[in-house]
Order: sequence, then C-alpha cells, then structure tokens
Amino acid sequence: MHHSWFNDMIKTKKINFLSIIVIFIFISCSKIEKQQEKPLKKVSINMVTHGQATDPFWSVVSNGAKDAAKELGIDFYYQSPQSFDMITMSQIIDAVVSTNPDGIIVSVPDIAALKKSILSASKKGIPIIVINAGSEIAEKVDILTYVGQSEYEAGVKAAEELIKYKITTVLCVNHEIGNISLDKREQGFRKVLKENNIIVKTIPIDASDPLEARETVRAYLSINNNIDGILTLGPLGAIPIMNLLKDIDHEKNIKLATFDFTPEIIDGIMNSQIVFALDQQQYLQGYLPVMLMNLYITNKNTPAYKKLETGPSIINIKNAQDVLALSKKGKR
Amino acid sequence: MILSKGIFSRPETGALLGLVFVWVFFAVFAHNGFLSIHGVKSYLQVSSEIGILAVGVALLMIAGEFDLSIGSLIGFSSMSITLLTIEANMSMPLASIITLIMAVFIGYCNGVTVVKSGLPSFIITLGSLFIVRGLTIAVTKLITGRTQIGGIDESSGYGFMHSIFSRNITISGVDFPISILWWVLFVFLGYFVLNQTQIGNWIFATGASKESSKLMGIPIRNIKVSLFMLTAFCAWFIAVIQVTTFSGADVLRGEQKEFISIIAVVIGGTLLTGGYGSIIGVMIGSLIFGIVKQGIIFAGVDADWFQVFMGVMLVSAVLVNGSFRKKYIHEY
Repeated sequence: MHHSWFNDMIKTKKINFLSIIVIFIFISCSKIEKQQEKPLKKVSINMVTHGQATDPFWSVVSNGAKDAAKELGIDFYYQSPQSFDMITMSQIIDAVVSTNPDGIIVSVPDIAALKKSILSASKKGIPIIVINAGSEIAEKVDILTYVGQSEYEAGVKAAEELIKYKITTVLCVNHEIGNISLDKREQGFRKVLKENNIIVKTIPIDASDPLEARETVRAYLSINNNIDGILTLGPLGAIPIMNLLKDIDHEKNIKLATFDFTPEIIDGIMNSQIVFALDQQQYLQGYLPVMLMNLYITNKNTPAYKKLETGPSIINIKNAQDVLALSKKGKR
Repeated sequence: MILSKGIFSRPETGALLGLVFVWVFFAVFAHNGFLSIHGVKSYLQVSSEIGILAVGVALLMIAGEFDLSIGSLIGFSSMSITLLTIEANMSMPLASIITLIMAVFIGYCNGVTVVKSGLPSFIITLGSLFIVRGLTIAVTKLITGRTQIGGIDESSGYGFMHSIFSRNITISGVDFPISILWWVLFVFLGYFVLNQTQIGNWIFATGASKESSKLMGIPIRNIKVSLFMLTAFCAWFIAVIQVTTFSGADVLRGEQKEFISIIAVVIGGTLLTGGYGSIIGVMIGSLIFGIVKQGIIFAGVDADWFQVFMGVMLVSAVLVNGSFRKKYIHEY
C-alpha cells in the first residue's frame, strides 16, 4: 500500500504546479483594494495588550475600556495574544494598524520588540496611548500619554510596606518571565530590602498551571526554612501560594503580599492569609485611555501630563471590605 | 474519472479546499483590512515564518520522525546571537555563525540519539525541548539578570544582517518583509530535493518502510541525522529573522512553534506516520495558518478564538485527507 502512494507521488508530481498557480491567483486577487463606503462614521478604537487569556487582571482592564466605549457609543475592539508572546503581539498590532482605526491603545512590555509596529501606527498618523507598561517608548514614538503605574516605584513601595511586618528573608515569585515591568517591580523591591539588609531570593513559576506553581514553591520552601515573607509579582502567583500556605503554614506564619488582586485575594486579605495587595487600579487603565482617545479624536484635546498614574495604593484588612463587591463584578 | 482519482489522492487536495474555505470566509467576514494589500502583507509575513520552519519539519516527518525541540532552538538561537553580540562584543554576523554551529550541533545530537537508541524521536526531542529552553533561561539570567535584551540594532554588523534577513521590499506603498522571499526559496528547494533528487526518494522510502529501505541500501541513519540538522537550521534561520526584525530577544521566543509547525505540515496533507506528504501542501498549510491567525484580528474577534479555529481546521484536514486516501486505495 505504501508502495502505491510512493509511485503515485513520483508519477503525478507535475500537478503540483496547478496548486501553485491557484495560490498566486488568490494572492493577486486580494490586491484589489475595496473602498468601503460608510454612511455613518463611528469612532473606532482598538486596544492591544499583552494580557494572557488566563489573567484576571486584564479582564478588569478590558471591562473598564468596554464600559467607557459603551458610554460613548463608539466601536471598540480588544485583542491580545494567548501567551506572553511579543512576536504575535507585534503581528496583531500590524494587522490592527492596517485596518486604519481612529486610535490605538497599547501596552508595551518589550519596547525593542514592539517599537517597529508602534512606529508604523505613528507614521500613518494614528494617535497612540500607552497603558500599563512601556512609558519609556515616549522617547522614540510620539504618544498622547501613558496611563499606568511606575513599576519601579511600586516595587519600592511594596518593600517599604513589607518591612513593617518584620521579615528577614523574602522570596519573590515571578509568574511572567520576559516581562520587563515585572523585572522593574523586582528591582525596586530588591533595592529597598538590600538597603535594610534583608535577603531576597527570586524563583520563576509557570503561571499557566497553578498546581505546578504551588508545588514549585512548596519544594522551594521545604529546603529554605528561613523564609518568612513572600512577594508575588501578580495574582497568578499569589493564588496558588495562598493555597499552599493554608496547608503548611501554621507555626511559621509566612507573610504573603502581592501586586494586583482578584476577589480571591481580597478574601485572603480579609482572612489574614495575605497581608496586603498593591493596587494599580487597572480599571482606570482601560476606562481612561478610551475616554482620552475619544476626546482627542472628536475634540482634539491633548492631555498635558506625560504620565497618568493609576497606582499604587495599598489594599489591606482595613479597606478590603470596600473593594470586595466591586472586585467580584470585575471593576476593581 | 482517472483525473479526479488522481487529484483526490494527492496530499495537498484537502489543504487546497481548506485554503479556499478560509480565504472566502475571511474575505466575507473581515473584508475591511483583510483584502487590502496591508492585509496580504500581514498574513504572508506570519505564514512565511511558520512556512520556513514547516519545510524542515515536513521533510523530517516524511522520513518518519519529529523534532519537538525547534521552538526552544528558536529561543536559544535568538538569545545566543543577542548575548554574543551585546555581552561578548562580537560582530553580529560572527555571533550568528557561532550560534548556527551550536544549533546545528544540537540537531545533530538529537538525530544521533534517535538513530542510535532506536527510541521514538517524540520522546528524545521532548527532552531536548526542555533542556534547551531551560539552558536558555538559566544562562541568560546568570549573565545578565534579565529575561529580555534589546538594542542589538546599534551593534556592528547589524545593518548587514538586517539587509539579508529582514529588509523590506516596498510594493505599492506597503513594506513586504524579505522573509516572504526566503519562504518561497525554502519551498522551492524543499520541493526540488524531495521530488527531483535521489535524496528525496530516500526520504520517502525511509519513512514508508524502514525495513525495505535498509534492504535497498538506503543510508537511513545519515538521512535522519541530516534532517534533524536541517530542522535546527530552520529554527536558527527564524531566530535570525526575529532578532534582526525586533532588534533583540527574550527567553520565551519560539514557544509552541514546534506544535504550530506540525499543525501546518499535517494540514498540508503530510502523514504523521511518515512516508507520504508534499512540500506544496505544507506551503498551503502555512498559508492557511497565517490567514486564520491574522483574519481573526481583521474580523475584530477576540484572538482567544484563534485556537478553536486552528484546532477545528486541524481535525477537519486530517479527516478530509484520511477519507480521500481511503477512497483512493479502495478504488485502486
């Protein structure tokens, strides 16, 4: 049987060129540009972020943006790659740019990788607002403004807050290797702790698998008994560790703190499993840029500030109750 | 009757139908952007990247083996080039050549381990997938303390490398990346070797029946080892394109590319068990991949749906190909 296919492959190879011709017809067909006539020109804004599909943080950003778009009655599209993948993200931006939207809102976790795509939007005259990560791109590309938090300063704040709990050795957990914002949080955090002679160690975890993440940390803690504080760089790290500490942490009393939060994290704060969360109010990182972009498109208003800071603020047992209901609605 | 039998038994027929289907689908639902010349550029760029990889993967699969380490090899190669250039102050062409030697050597080790041990290449290269990725992350963090490195566009020899691997060719105002031409060249060479040379016959024979190939005196081992080196070469090639295009690297580059290239190859009608397949089919498979990936963005649908679409395409392609082949064999 194999033999007959084998012969057939060799005998009929010429027909292959038929397929090539068909492909070229397709490609050349597509070159005919179609002019779409729109009777009513609605404002259309695209948002492209690096948010992973599994990350609850980004659903709040997109809720904020969608709420703003709904209030304004404009067309709004949100897109992101499935995993932390800068090549795919640049290709998404390229595709979005070629649809000529009125404005683009984009997060820039890797300036080197995304610079080119963002520059191409700028060259076409599409206004750009950067959110969440990559404010430094303003040095290379004209942007309207940046909406987010300064990650290094947020790291500093996390350290200053955690020191109040009298820790001596801290583990820092990174759930998104390759994200420069997280690296910056860690740098700010490390700097302050080192100045206070507190030891910091960092481990990476696989955020797509909470079970595996939990076991990675369990193994690490079992051979490093002296750790009495943990900082996770996001909820994808904090939730599995909260779960782990329920199992093992009765006498040691490890202090867990995290960047950003979800309803589970708020519950954790109210049950004293987590000492605090740093809140960058990411709903604003969705809502505000859509509003600002619409104002620019329709009213030519330009924000005067280079950076619009949305955080960090501290959520601890004192104010956790206030944000719980809102967090469950995907608004905080 | 004979003609139709001939066409339906061809490995690329199912893929060609799939291509027509997805193109028409997105032409209808995503006409804004998808049909423009920017849209064509957008999906050809994505297709070219996966298409170059898929040529190597297809030849290896026709010879009856898999290489799951290519995604990690892309990450390894891009990081190695970047580190050697920026941290060791080499010129970029030299760094690329040294990296090429290392990458092809890893391919050689994969091949030799597979033919010497007689174990499935699936398992052996699954091992190297993790070894290579782990080494990339560990060594990069050891040397630089970071997970992404940019700024290679200011180093010596970058202009030369950029002009070969990622310059743009402007056609009616749109910059087409040269990777599309490289893709065409890879397809042409792959087609030529597979269908016009004795080596091609050997590759088919090796995958179809190991025993009879041995009896016929075909150098199975050499063929397999060379093909593993070829897939490593393709991975290096993509890494160079990515590093020159995005002027830097992060440690996660190339993640999941091993599966995506296998999907493109299988959609193109190549049998997972070896001995049967076509390079033209693989080219169509890669084109389908690019069209679906970018088409979903043009349609304004959340990119989360891409995986669903791709999975459905894969399963239908395999079912269609399978039923064509079965019909053909019964009638013969």
